Amino acid sequence: MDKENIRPSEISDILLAQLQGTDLTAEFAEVGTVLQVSDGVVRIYGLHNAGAGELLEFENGIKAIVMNLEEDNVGAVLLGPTEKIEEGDTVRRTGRIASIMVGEKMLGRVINPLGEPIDGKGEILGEKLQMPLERKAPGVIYRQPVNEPLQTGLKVIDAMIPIGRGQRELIIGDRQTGKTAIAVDAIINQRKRYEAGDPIYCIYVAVGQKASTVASLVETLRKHGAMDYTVVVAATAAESAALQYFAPFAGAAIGEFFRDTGRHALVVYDDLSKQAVAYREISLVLRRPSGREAYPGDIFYLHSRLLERAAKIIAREEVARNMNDLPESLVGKVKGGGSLTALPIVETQAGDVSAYIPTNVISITDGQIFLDANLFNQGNRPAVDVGLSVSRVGGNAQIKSMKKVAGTLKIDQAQYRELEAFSKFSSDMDAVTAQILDKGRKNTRLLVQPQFSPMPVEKQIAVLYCGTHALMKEIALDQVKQFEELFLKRVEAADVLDTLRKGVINDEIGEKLEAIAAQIISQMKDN
Amino acid sequence: MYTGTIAGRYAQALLRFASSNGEEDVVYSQVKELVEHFKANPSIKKELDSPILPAKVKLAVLYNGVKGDICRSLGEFLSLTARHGREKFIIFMLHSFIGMYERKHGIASVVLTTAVPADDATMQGIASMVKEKTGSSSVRMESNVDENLIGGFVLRIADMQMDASVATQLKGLQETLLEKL
Repeated sequence: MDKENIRPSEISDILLAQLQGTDLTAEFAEVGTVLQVSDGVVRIYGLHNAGAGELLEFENGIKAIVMNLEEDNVGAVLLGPTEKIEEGDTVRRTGRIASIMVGEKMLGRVINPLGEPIDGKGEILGEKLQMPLERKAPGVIYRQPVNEPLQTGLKVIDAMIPIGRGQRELIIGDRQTGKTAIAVDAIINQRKRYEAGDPIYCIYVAVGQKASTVASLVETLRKHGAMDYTVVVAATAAESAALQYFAPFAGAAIGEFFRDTGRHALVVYDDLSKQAVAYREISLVLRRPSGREAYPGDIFYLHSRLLERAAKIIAREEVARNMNDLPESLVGKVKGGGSLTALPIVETQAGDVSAYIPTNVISITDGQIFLDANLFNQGNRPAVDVGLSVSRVGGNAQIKSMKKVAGTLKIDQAQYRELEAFSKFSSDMDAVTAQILDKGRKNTRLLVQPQFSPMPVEKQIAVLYCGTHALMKEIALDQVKQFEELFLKRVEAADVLDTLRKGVINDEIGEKLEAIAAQIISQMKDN
Repeated sequence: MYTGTIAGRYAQALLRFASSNGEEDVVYSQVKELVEHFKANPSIKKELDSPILPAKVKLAVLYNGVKGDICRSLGEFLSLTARHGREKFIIFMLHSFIGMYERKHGIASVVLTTAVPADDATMQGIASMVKEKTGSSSVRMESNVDENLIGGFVLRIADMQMDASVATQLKGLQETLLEKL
């Protein structure tokens, strides 16, 4: 009982210490006067020394960020409700650039782009570091090539479009083609690493989505135990354009906290087309000159500077410690070898990848996963169009056994798609063509994977071995799923998965896998 | 994008025009009245922005903001902005003009806000302190009373402000405690 009682002296001491730490000295601050308020943007007379990206504060505590520096006045975007600001209000400089407080306790929480919790679970406690929203990406000497894989748990991606840690891989497709599902599966797949004590922290940034969609996504992540290592940054459709514009930057700042402290992080920007729309809105209200599709001239730079922040940091600590543009809060805490992988999402209209924003982001990223509505409707989910999808650097990070097994899969599938188109015109075909078509169809079926059921890489390798070595030629197409289930059960019992995980595949293992497959096929035939 | 540039050019023209007419001081005081008028009646901006209202009505709205007759220089200037269709930049022009005038004449404009009315001795003391520190040739003092400050004062000299009010200190204390608890 005694332990539970709070001693008054303890409280006083704590309060005293905190009061002594409070700065009550008044200093001169530069102030300006609001001359115009419109749609989340204010124009302020004065503030001659304000810098771009600087945080401003109004008398009622609402904050704004400087966007336009003009003669005699500055344009700033409001981070609070427009109706609470009036013409004639005084606004002061803070001398700080816009930033977010990041800490370990943020994991499992849903926050807004300012770092404030919006999940009703109270304040975020624990030590927090101030991370700037806008920060220059690490320079060339602080980086190293992508060399570690980031497993998404999806066969089609890990086999043919592998993603490495530090890579930027775009997920692109029409509405309702499963873009978010891929990102969510990739997050859920990190659960095993988290349990093993080598986590890849995840940040999911929701831009301009319905609040209900965000709520159900958080619930899905929670249900699969993924919130333990995930932060959700949400700027829903009801938030101001400024918050929607800043949300991905907040996500990047949180990711950088993990990256620069030597850990691995994955950030999903869902989606950048909505961020571009929010930025267009701000730019038009700020009366910046507009260009193609009314987007401002720096829309490319908006996405390129954001995505450049995804990086694999050099493992040599003495070099990493001197990283450029290191925030003060991180000095002395930097560790090498960390990474930030980005999975930006872009929505296309009617499959048009040559629109403005999609082409921009395609050219910035290290590859794209293209999702096709027709494939989706045919039941091939994830609906990845293998022909249009590519990973430019991930191949270096793929584990050896997967590379060996799935090396020819992509080209086989492309050949199959081509032949399939021709086979629709002719009725009789030679045996070789028929065989390629049969193998292609079965591989396509083998790559189908239900949502929220990521597969460990060693199992993927075992399954894909059967596909690429045409071990299923004697079963019917609709038996492929059944074969896969039986095969996986049998493989688990056999002593091959551990070896495959280590990246080793040899004739002995190949023979074992082939023997298991033959057994299952004969069993299926008997039934 | 060019708001500041437009406002700056017009303000410069007004300053030179007023000076050539020997009406600089009158224009300055009337411009200050107009700025206060804008502050007290935010709807004026909407009227000036309106594409339907004729220039005459817009000018009448502005003339109302000046006590007594509007001086020739300012009257001509307002008509010119209306002729050029730049009415919506007028508020920016007025602020730019005040800044230019004060810089030209070395005036430090000081606003002291206190919770209870400040006595003359305090005002004079502040005026001489500002004069000494800023090197201005003259100081224009203005005082306001705002009970919400609880105690202390808020001193604004041109575009620099010192907030030494009790209300702000309490707010700072609250924020620190919330952050650390």
